[in-house]
Amino acid sequence: MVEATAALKVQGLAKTYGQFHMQDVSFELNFGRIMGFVGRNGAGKTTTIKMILGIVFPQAGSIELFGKPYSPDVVGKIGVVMDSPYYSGEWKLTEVESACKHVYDNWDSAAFYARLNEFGLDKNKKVKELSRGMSVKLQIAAALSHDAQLLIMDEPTSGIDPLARDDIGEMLEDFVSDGNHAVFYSTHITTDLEKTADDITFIRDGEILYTGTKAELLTKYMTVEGEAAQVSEQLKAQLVGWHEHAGRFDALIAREALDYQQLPDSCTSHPASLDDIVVSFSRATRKTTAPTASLAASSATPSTLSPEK
Amino acid sequence: MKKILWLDWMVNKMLLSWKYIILWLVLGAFIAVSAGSLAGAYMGVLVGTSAATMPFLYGEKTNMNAWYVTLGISRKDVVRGRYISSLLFAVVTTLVGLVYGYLISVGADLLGFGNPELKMIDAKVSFFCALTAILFAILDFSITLPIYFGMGYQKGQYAAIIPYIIICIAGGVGMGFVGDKGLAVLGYIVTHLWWIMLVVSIIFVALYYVSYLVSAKLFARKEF
Repeated sequence: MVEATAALKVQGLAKTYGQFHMQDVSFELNFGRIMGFVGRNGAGKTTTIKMILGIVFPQAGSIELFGKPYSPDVVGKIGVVMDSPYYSGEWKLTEVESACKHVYDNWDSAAFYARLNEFGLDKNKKVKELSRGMSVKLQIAAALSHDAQLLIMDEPTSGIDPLARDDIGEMLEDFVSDGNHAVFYSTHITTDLEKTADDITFIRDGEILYTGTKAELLTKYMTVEGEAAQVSEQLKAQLVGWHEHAGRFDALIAREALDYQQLPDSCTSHPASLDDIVVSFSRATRKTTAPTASLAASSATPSTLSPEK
Repeated sequence: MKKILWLDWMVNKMLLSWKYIILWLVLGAFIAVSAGSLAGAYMGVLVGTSAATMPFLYGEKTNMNAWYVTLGISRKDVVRGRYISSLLFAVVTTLVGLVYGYLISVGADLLGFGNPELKMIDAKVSFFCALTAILFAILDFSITLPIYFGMGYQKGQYAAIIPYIIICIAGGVGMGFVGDKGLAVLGYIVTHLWWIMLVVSIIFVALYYVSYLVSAKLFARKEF
């Protein structure tokens, strides 16, 4: 078991691209954990990942990997799976292996080819001939073959069939099960995170709304739905991500703010899924999000921020 | 450093596919027979300088530069590695071109259609040809690599032509300035050829180093 240092610690990252501002992006991922990084397109997920990897420079903040400040030496211990592979499209998978063999210090050729077999990838195919799902599998095979301690993945499961996604989820669970490894991955498919993630970090418009355990997040919110006309203004003010269609609505409410007596008869409530939470908070703009329904925990844990939205 | 040299080689060697090899061999043979064995060196250096652009081309297509960073290769090493690998590749292809040109000339001579006058293999002249070809590569890399590192391949491939246009114009103006003294200047160059080559070589090596420093500076803050 690795010492109690965090596999990844991000503190106060900031970056501006034109109109887009990222500020005070902070979270911490411990060994043995899988952290899902969620948020809508353009929220800053890929930029955050690129900053962690040193591909993009933050304008402020710090990144610690394995308890050490960011440096080219420590970044080599990360397994990376990006939206599309960085390998030349003209390379056959055997050439990818040949390239990796010379650039990773702890490269395991046998493990790589075993993964290719497991994934049903033909080693004589060229990278450019692979489908999106296959190219993700190729990157995962490479990432798991050089003794990486931390796996960072950007949307690894989008475009992949449910069975393969399930397999990838199991693989990640196996990867962290010894407590010496950790996984950080961004995704739109929150159902994957329901199954595999231990922690969630939620980013919206370049700011972290929540970072902490998945279990804590899921117990904080309820989904309410019913006839829109019957909802009082008082109740409406406590709802997040109000969505109305054909006279009916659905929205999120903090469990502690939910007063069943206030709920009209036509309304029902049920525990919110991760998808409900992400969709509702993404829908809600900063102005319309009621402070009482803020995702930020009132009692901040080391891995939980408390920005008042 | 080894990592970047290997990865650049993996990209450069794509120019060594059968399709390209046959193309180079046929073209090289044609040039060697028609223009002499020593032209093989210039053919070779053209292959070398073309290969140098490959890591930029593919680096941009698949964002390989980002991969280099995630491998723990510093941006400085990426630049350093590319300057070394480009020059190395150009030297090797020049020498291969020189030898190939000679073999083709000998073969053509044996078959009866070669020009014996063009099949010269004087060591001094061969060395001169190889040196000028390599100096051309150094000049080319000194100009184009900072452009590619600074602007990327897509934009840089057009911008890289501009310095050559300027050199051509300056050459034309220079020739006009020299005017009637042209033959005298040429005569001076021929009589002091090796000294001039030595001075030019030193200047070009210095230029290459300055070019490297500029590229390293341009690439240091590059995001992918």
